[in-house]
Amino acid sequence: MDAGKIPKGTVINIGNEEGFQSNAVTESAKKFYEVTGFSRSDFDIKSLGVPFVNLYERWIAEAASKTGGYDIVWGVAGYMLADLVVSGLAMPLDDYLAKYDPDGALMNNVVTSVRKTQAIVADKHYALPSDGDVFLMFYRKDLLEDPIEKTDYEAKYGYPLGVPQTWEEYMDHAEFFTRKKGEKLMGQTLDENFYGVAEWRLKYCTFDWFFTRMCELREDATRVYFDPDTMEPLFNKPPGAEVLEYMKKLNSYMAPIPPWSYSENLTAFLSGIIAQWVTWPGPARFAADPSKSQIVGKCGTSIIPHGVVNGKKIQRSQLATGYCALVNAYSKNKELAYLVNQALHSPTTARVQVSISKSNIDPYLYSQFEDLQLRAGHFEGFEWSTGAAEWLDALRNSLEVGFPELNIPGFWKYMDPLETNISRFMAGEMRAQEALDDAAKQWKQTTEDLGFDQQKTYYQALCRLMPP
Amino acid sequence: MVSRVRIAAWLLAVPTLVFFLVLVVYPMASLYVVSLFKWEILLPIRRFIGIDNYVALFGDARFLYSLRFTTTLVAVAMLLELLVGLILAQILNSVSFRGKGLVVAAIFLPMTISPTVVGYTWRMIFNPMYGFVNSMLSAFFLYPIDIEWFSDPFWSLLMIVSADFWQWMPFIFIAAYAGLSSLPSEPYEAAVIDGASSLQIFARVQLPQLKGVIIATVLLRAMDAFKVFDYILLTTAGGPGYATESLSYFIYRTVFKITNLGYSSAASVIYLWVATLFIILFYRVMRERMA
Repeated sequence: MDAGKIPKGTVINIGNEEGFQSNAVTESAKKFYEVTGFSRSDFDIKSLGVPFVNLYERWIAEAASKTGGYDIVWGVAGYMLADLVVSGLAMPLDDYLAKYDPDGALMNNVVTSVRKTQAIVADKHYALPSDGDVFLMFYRKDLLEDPIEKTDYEAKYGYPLGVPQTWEEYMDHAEFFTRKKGEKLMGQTLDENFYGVAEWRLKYCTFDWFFTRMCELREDATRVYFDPDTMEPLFNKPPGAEVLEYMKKLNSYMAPIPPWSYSENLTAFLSGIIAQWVTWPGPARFAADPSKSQIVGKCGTSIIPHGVVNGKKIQRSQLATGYCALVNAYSKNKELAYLVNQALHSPTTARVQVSISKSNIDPYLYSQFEDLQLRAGHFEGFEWSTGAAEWLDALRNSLEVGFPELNIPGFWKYMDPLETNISRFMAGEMRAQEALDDAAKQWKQTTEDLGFDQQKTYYQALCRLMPP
Repeated sequence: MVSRVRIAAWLLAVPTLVFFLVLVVYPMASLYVVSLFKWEILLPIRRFIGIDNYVALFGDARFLYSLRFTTTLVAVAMLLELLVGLILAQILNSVSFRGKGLVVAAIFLPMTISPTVVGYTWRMIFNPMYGFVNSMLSAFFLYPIDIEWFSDPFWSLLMIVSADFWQWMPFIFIAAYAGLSSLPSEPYEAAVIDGASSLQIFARVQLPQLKGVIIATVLLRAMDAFKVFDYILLTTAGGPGYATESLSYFIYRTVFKITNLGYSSAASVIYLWVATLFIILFYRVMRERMA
């Protein structure tokens, strides 16, 4: 970049999820100025927050209105990418990557599954991955180490208490640790209810918990959503209904905190009344912070339980949401926007995003997983007493087997009927098979509406990015 | 001279006319036009399909449900707000005490809060585990109450009605209170001398005089109530299933989740007509009842 060629007063606006995400990018922009020698008088970088629930709408509205108001669109969940490609908002970055990252140093530093699924649509690069979002399992280590609980558990289930390895064990743990106020846990009388498990049941987010199980119950990962040859939906075929029934059974071991979203579950987990939780990587970071957590040093992190198909262990995990950053095709400063985007994803600046306390951005670069300071728990503004290396290893292992969301055009057209029907099933308005069959029927209609051949092409391209 | 005045009048009206054409007529006409198309936001699909969107909507169980849900919600909320607002206005109008102004201001306060804030607040206070409402009910009935406010269709509806009531009952109250305060005192004094009871004075003397105020207030409130969206988005997201999906939420979903602009435009046109018919009906019933 040559500062002399940049018009005075140029501002690069970055659209991002408000709060922690936006804050992290703002902090890394400070680092950008520090390491590059540019100043805000050369050009300014501004991170503009958008509420989480409005991100998709905002980007679709920008695609329709073509204002170029955001030069970089950062808060793009992986599943939104194909929609933003076909709507014209995301521009191909292959030429810029060839010009400014010729040896692939930037992209090869990204964990492979993330590099593929949060950047590529139909074999072209449209974004730079920004976040290591994948499902992990968090559990209370002190519960698993307690001698009374160990004895009781083995007596009841016939195998030793440990970190759940399969979904069946996960259910056993959920059942075993759900206790009422007045009962005993680790020899102490409980003064409030204790719950065996937490998951999201917020409408429009439940699909991730459905598919994170479904993807481990199919030997062939490409056959979780559709048959790639016929585009016949497959999620309603066995064991789809069983998975829904499993999720409903889990509800009885959860805290009654509908709509069971992130903040409610996080609060409950940090206050020490939840035994285990499959969710995004964030909670371990907060659990290690004494100012926020009552379970400091007690939170274990692991890859999620695995599935078993025909006696074969299947280990995958949903790459849920997973932000990436694209260059707005309607930006007036595309090349500068790309260069700023690339610079904010370089190891030095990206490290700021994952290491500050007020951040929800999770490590996704190989350099971050090997960073000795981070592994030792030395984050900026707070120290992890224990567990940082364990968390980083579990996160990296989970990302390596990451399974993508349905990143093809019309994502919400597909997910809306499925989400609605899962919600109706949970409320007792539909049977599991009926809910899935009805959603599958609507998926077929959506495929026809958007163009069978086009959808098949996009889905087959997505299949090429899936883990084995 | 006349023609110069007329020209000047037209010239003065031009800015308003331009604004009206650009901000009202053009979007409205666009809405009708787009509703006749298969219009996909994500992909370049724009195809004239006549009234197919309308036909599909009347066969769409989800749309018909949202129609029924919205009219039920508006009717229940309006009646409650009207009833309580009027009674409260009458009580406060008939008594005099120090700090009355503060009480009126306190009742008025919820109206000044953004519906988004109300939605978030309701989400917290109705939280079945930590929320204030279940705790208060448990304390009152001396029995643990665990109402699933977000996952049971009936309780979800009640929760949304309560949000609307809390925020907008003050609107009816303040209009009725202002109306009552400005009524001439002679009919009231005459009724007192004739020995009428407080209830009779309110029902037979004051209420008929407030007819215009009440009808105008209720119509304004009904138009607003039809747009109910924020509370739903922030509490139930239309769930469980689509049990709390209002027409506004249905339209939002078809635009931003289903990205079908033609279909959502047709739904918006029907929404406009339903709201208009509902309000006309409401107006007629009120006028007859209060005549």
